[in-house]
Amino acid sequence: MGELGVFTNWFGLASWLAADRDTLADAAKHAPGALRIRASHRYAVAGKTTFSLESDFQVLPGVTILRGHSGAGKTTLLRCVAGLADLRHGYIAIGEQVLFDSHRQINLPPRYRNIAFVFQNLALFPHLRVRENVAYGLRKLSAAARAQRVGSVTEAFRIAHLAERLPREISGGEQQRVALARALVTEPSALLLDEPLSSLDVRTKALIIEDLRAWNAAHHIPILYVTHDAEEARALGERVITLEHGRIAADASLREVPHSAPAHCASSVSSFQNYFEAIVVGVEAATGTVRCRVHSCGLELRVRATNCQLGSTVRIAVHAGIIPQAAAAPADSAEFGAFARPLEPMDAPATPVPD
Amino acid sequence: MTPYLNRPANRHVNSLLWIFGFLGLLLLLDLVLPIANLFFTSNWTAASAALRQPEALQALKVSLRSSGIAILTMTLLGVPLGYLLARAKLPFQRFWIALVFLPMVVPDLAGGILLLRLFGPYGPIGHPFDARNIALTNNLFGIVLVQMFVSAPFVVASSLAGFSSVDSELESAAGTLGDSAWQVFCRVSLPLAWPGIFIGIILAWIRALGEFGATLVMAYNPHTLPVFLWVKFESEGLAGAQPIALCLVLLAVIAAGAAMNLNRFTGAADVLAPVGKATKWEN
Repeated sequence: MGELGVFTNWFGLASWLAADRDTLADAAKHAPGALRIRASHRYAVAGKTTFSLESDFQVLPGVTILRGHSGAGKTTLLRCVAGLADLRHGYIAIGEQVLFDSHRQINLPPRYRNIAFVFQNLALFPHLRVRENVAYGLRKLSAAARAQRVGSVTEAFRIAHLAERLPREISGGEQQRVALARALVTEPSALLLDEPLSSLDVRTKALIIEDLRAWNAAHHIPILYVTHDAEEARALGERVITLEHGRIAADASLREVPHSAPAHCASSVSSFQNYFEAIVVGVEAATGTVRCRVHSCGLELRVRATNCQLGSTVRIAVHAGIIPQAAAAPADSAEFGAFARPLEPMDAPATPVPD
Repeated sequence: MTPYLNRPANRHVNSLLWIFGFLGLLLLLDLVLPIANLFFTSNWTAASAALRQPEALQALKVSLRSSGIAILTMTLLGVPLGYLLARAKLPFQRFWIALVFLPMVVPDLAGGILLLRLFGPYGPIGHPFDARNIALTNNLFGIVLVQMFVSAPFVVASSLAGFSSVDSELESAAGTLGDSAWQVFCRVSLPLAWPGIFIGIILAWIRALGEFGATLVMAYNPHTLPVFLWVKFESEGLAGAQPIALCLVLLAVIAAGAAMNLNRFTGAADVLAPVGKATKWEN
């Protein structure tokens, strides 16, 4: 991770033009299945103002956030990766598979790229039922294979009961789930999301992302998620890339933050979570939990964790949906139905309890 | 203390609606009354007997056949043109669109003259055919040409509007899901634009069926229903023309009614409601 971080920074800061493709090929070997994007493009927006897009980064399997203000070039970049917009100079590849290379004049049309794209307005086909929407990309499969694939993905995204509905007959959150299922049922080698969840409330969003992560735990594809919302970016991603005026302004790896914390504690980036710096004030080996005092407010939480030393500083992640409940609950209340998944998968739910 | 103070606030709106309703009714007298009068005062048995005469049957056959051929040709050529005008970034786009709509503003008889000058035996296109003893006027081909000239703009216009109303993101989405341009057209663009296009086709068919002025100039023979109607009116007056008029009006009303109800039946009309945009729901 560290090595790749250095690599990316070197490219981003040094001249991307000088980069030769042998090095790029090396990069692909370093991270199999990673989505590699090096793009340079200049657009005339209106009259004299031009908009240039210059970026170079690698999206590893897992969720990466591409953040930037509106007009920073996020959507354009995403469309270039999917083949929906044209890039003048650049190189786009997934693992060994080159999708676009201006030097070698390679430019695969969208249908051969095997990249799933979830549009900002979702672009569900209004004339097709949920089942038909999800099955849309499986035209070449036999009917039985198609039904089987659609069945398993609609199960995974909890929309199986909506199969016979039309998109306009289901809720916004359900539409998002259908869009994800439709994109992922083709088993793509990368997933691009263009602010698809921006209209949803936090809790709905969190549950959807939870299911997306569960799906990706089995598939390990790079997921590039575009948002302009800093909060969302911080809560959601393992890695955040910030795009400003078409250039990469910051490339920080959130994943490294928990690692740099002194303990492998219940800090997690698995969902929409809030982070609290805390100190371990008690270890209850019998229940596998620790008691942590949050620095900022003195609140004590009981958190499921492993390997935490008494007195060590940890970072706690709390599901956004729990916080209002915790605030409303009496001080000595019992357990909350909370999930907080740490970086290393741990299935038992954490149980923060105000003390 | 003035009486106005006690009036409900919407009294002005009501008087407005009353006046507009009255004005509308006056127009309806001209629009609907002739048709209603035709239906109520016709001698239906005499009319059906008149329509069973071989000449009338022949004219009906000519009309149905020519308008059928015309509508098929217009659909095959006009729908792609509508798509092109809606989606392709053509140079002088507005000019091409205006060009397609031009026949709509040309008066019928004048249109017939234009066509005759081109396709007639001495016209630049008609002459080489005429030299090989192929006539482009006064036969089924001439009738089809005229009908296409006057009604194809309906097909192109409805296709243009229909395809423009399809969110291009849907087409992009189909592309990322593995579809070629052809497949996207057949699976997404056409099904979504179809309800509007279908209405356009029906309107075009009715227009083709009723076309008279240009047909009179370009292809007097064989008689289509409207030309036959004219012939009857000339020779036998109102009484002779009435059954043919009844038949034409019936065909048009049935076609229009079918178009409206087919759309409602398939539920296609509200398919175009936007999906997933700016809606905030609790899950």
